[in-house]
This record gives sequence, C-alpha cells and structure tokens, in this order.
Amino acid sequence: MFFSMVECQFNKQVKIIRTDNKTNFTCMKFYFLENGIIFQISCMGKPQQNRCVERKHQHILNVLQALRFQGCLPIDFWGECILTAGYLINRISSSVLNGKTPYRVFYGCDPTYDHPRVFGSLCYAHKQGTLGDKFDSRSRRCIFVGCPYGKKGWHLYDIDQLIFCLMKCQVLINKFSFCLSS
Amino acid sequence: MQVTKIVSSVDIKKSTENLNKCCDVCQRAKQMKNKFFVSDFRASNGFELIHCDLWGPYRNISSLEHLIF
Repeated sequence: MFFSMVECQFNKQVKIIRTDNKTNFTCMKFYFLENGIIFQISCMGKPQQNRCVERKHQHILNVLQALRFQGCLPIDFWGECILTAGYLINRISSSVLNGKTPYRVFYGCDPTYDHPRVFGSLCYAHKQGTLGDKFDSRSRRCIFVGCPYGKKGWHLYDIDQLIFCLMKCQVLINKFSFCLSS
Repeated sequence: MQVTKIVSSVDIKKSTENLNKCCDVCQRAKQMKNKFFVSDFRASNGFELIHCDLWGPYRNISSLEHLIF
C-alpha cells in the first residue's frame, strides 16, 4: 500500500528498504523480491547500522514527551501524541534540509499553518443533534488531540462523555493548556 | 614493543613474532567493539532508500488499540 502511494503521489520508485534484524518486515521479503526492491537488514545486535531511523525515533519520542507534558495529558493519549509529533515534525524547518521543511521537500510548496492548534487545549465543539431541546447545552467540551489526515477537521476528545470524536467546523479553541485531571 | 626494548635479555625477534599473532586470551578477555563509521551514502532522490523500524510494544494500549508505531 505504501509503495503504491509513493508511486501514485510522487511518481517515484522505492529502490532500497533498510531495516533491523527483527522479523517484522521479513514477511514482505517475497514482495520485495518480486518487485526488485533491495532488502537490507542490519547485523544481529547492531542497531547502529539502522542509525537514521533509530535517531528519528528519538526525535519523535522527544517531541511526544514535550507535547504530553505541555498538554498535561495521561499516558493513554500516547498514540495521538505520536501522530501530532509526526505532523509537527513534517512542518517544522530542519537544519539537515538547509532550513526547509520536510513538507516542502516532498510537495514542493510550503505547508499552511492555520490548521493546527495548541495540543491538549480546551475547545468547544458545536453539538449536533440536540433533538430540539432548547435547554440542552449547545456545545461539547473537548480537548484538541490532533489534526487528522485528509479531513478538514480536528481530532477531539470529549471530556464529558470520555469519547473521541472528529468535528468538522464551528470549533472555538482557547489557546491555553487545559489539565485533564482537573 | 617497549618492554622488549628495555629488557635486553629477551629475544626481540621471537617476541615480535608472538606480538603479531592473534592472542586467544586477549581476544576472549579484552575484545572491544569495532568503531562504526558513518556511511556517506545519500539517496539522490526522495523515497529511494526507506529506513524502517518499529518502536514498541508499549505497555499501555493507545486509543486506537495499537501497541507499536
């Protein structure tokens, strides 16, 4: 699926796959053979040979921790933190790329920064389907937990009903950090 | 080498031959890891070389019921 996406979106072919010595990717060995992709694995007990991705994991985990502590979120939100960390890393300029963002390197244009909001901040999403009850609350109290891919909306966590939801519009976000424990 | 120079009674030729040999005890007791050289290979185009790895599993299940990323 990933290879088809690369070919379709960027019109480029993947030539080499480099990974560690675990069995996670060895199940795709025959697919690589059929498509002429070189499959490189590191030696046993030598993660140094898989340096780039191990360093990137450290980068992602650093951003994850910063997001989680800034947003005062419990550890169960680590999945959302990682997705947001990846989203932000792709949109922040990198010294390795001479000040360009990874987004610009891939797509050739600068990303827009009006979509992301402060991670973990309190927001009020418009309540849909109030069933005509005039005394019912018109909004839902939520926490911003990320920008979904391919949708013009925000990924939110309803703190009253304790469920995740995806809201399209009419979201008012306060730019202060909201502590979930409170 | 310095020791063999100082101690004149030792046969230098014989000692240097021994030094050049791979010592079994040294290899078993004092072997160090080789230095890792930074590879100077860089992909000329995007998506030419993909680095893959999985992190985890983590002890807490995420909201989408995942353990690794």
